[in-house]
Amino acid sequence: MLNYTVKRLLQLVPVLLLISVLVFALVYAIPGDPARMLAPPDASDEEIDRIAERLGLHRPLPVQYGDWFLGVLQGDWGNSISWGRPVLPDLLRRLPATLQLAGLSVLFSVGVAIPVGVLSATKQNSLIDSVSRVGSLLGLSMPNFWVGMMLILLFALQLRWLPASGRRGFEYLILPAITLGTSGMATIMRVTRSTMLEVIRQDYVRTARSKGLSERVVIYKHTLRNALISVITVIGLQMGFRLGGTVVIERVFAYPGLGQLAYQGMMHRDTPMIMGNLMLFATMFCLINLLVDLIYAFVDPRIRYG
Amino acid sequence: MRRTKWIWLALFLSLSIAIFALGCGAAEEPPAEPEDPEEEPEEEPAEEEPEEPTRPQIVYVGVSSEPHRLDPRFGAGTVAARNIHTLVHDPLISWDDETLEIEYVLAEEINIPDPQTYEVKLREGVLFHNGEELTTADVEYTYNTLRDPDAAASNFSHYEPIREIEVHDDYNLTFHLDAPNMPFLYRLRADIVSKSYSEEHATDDSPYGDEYTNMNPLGTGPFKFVEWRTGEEIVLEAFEDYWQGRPKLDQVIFRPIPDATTRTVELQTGELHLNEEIDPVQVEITEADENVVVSRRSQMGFQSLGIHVNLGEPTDDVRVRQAIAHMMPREDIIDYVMHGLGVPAYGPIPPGHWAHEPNVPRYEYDPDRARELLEDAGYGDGFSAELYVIEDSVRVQLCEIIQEELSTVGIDVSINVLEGGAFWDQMRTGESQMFQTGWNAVTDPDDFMWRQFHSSSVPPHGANRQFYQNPEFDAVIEEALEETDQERRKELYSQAQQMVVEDASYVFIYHHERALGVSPDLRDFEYSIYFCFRDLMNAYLAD
Repeated sequence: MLNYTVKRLLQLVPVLLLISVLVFALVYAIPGDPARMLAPPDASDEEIDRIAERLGLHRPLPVQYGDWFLGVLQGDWGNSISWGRPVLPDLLRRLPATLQLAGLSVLFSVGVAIPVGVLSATKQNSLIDSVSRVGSLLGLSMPNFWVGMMLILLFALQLRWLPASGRRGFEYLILPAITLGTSGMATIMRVTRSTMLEVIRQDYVRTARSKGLSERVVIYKHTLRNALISVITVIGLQMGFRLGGTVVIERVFAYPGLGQLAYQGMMHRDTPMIMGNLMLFATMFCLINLLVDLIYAFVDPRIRYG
Repeated sequence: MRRTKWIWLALFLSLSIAIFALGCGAAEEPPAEPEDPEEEPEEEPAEEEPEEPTRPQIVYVGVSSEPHRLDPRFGAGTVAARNIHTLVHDPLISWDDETLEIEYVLAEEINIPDPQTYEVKLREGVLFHNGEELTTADVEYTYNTLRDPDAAASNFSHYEPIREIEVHDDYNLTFHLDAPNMPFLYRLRADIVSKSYSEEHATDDSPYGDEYTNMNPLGTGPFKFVEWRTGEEIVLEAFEDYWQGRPKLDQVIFRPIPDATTRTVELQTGELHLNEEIDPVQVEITEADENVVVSRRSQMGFQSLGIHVNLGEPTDDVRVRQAIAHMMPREDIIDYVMHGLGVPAYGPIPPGHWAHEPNVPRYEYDPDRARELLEDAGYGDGFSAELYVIEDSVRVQLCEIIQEELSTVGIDVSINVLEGGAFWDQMRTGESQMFQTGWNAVTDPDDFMWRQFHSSSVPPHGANRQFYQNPEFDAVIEEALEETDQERRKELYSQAQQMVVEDASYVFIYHHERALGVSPDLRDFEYSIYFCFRDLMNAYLAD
């Protein structure tokens, strides 16, 4: 297991390297010039060129990439073009906020989705089943920024139960986490239900029932555990998407996380900021995948990593 | 064996929950209270609420975007940063928001013996937040940074005309300009920074100390900088020794909230006292809420449709351009797109401004006249045209209305919606047949007249993206640049406005307004288009 983990971690290096090259090239392919964004809207070309030169943007792309890469190796992620200061401390300062938000939203979606999915599968075609199916369809089809807006209008403006924006305590996390978790919850719920239904028809479940085990044991020990592999795969994927979702959700809730920084970086074509952000996102995505693979072994004794 | 695995998993999960909870706890730290609550600006009325102390004088301001550079030398290009600069710093001069008449701030007196010499006498006894006294060395240092091409400070071109800054003593200095330049007076509004403080933090990488001062600004303004938690808030605190007297407010806290709806909700629920900008769509709903006062301020600018005059047929014909101008349904646009936030514009300079000229040719909405003009020009059957607009819902809607109107006279417009960077790249090519742009906060008329209409300002040198080149017009604004007599300047700019409107390389649509949300408890505050929240130095919260 340890060998496997180390091997997987080593594999991260070429993956991240490739991502960094790709992203760097992509940022330059998007129209728009960072120097232009920094200059006043009516600035002349001379003024813009001067700014570009000061930022080192006039150099060939491979040189700029090399410069950035060597810096990263020495722990210097470059200075943000728009903020004019090192990128790394800002990224690290905001990382916990985004992790909390993404983590809480996963807890929320898993916490709701699995019980409801199980219930829905065991009571197939009942009222509960219909309600949960309609609910998950809604959850999937509502755009998350809209869900956020509606939650703000309901819970912050009408009922005044929860704050609408900021991050000054746990209650500030609730609405954004629910918003971020809604679509994931819907997906996980659907997968749980359909996998449970598949497993429930297996021979060994019938055997378990016929040997007189209680329904509880049959469902949770024999059915759910066997259904869990596909559910965990979906949860892992969802966590990855969740990181992307923060870009939109953090803006709606003015939540001070990485997502907002990523958005601002993009708007200003702030290459060091975008690179820093995306490298963090990419690393987290890869780590989540690794974690999911490791959890497989916990859940399913048949899976072993040599 | 199997059981231990589950225990591990459970442990892992509970650990991660604990970490989240812990992290949240750390974030719970309340915003710092002002250190000196003794100075209560308002007498506590002896009413029946003994448990309630006098309301803390802390104002929360919701702003749409977070500033990036808090040093005014480097951040003055964005409103987000000016929100902070104008409270932490003082400029030499400011002006009245409506008439644009000059008011002295750090300058006690300014003499202009000839239009290329500006003699400034500084106010004495003004202190920086670190206790040092303001002298001409600080003013000289600030302006020298601004005009250093290697510093890449904001608005470099504004300070390019300075040839030399001559310091006579601690309180007297003279700006010598390359050439006569009357609009330069308005350039003396740059916020002054401390020389010793900036130099103390200078490094090889940042010779002007801006890597530090952008995060820790220091000035002579009514509020001093306390703390910036990026993405969350910027905390400013009353400066006890402010030369105009300590502000009544103890703290001003800026919170960046990018979403307009969220910002409005926060104001309605009392979490904010000021909302920098209400989306036009939300103005009516917000006005209906008694917990909010909606205040409208002219943006002192215009929104316009630019039409290229030098890109071949058919827009090189002035009659075609005038026909387009006659198809502009200004009132409808203001009603349906801006939800009432604007007044119709027939020329560039907004009403109220000293250079506003009401007697320009007015292209009222008149499809018959437009058809006539098109027929005269030989385009009775219409033509097709390209229109460029930046990705922004209000601007795109505006262009769709224009497209719809022009289609009724046979002009088939295709709209190209471009995202910010791509739009400005397109503008730089100087090959856009029609484009929608605007101008905010007009100061001296020369400001935009030169950059948008002078022959020498065609891309890549300036913003004359419609390639308007009229020697007569050039001569008039060149004369106005040097003219010292205010009446004569006004006259010259009247002529210039008439020419610009006559030639219709720009069709002026409306002078836009900004809607601000204000808590009814906040008293004695007026927002300024030029100086943002600076008036908070006079404001207070009523009980």
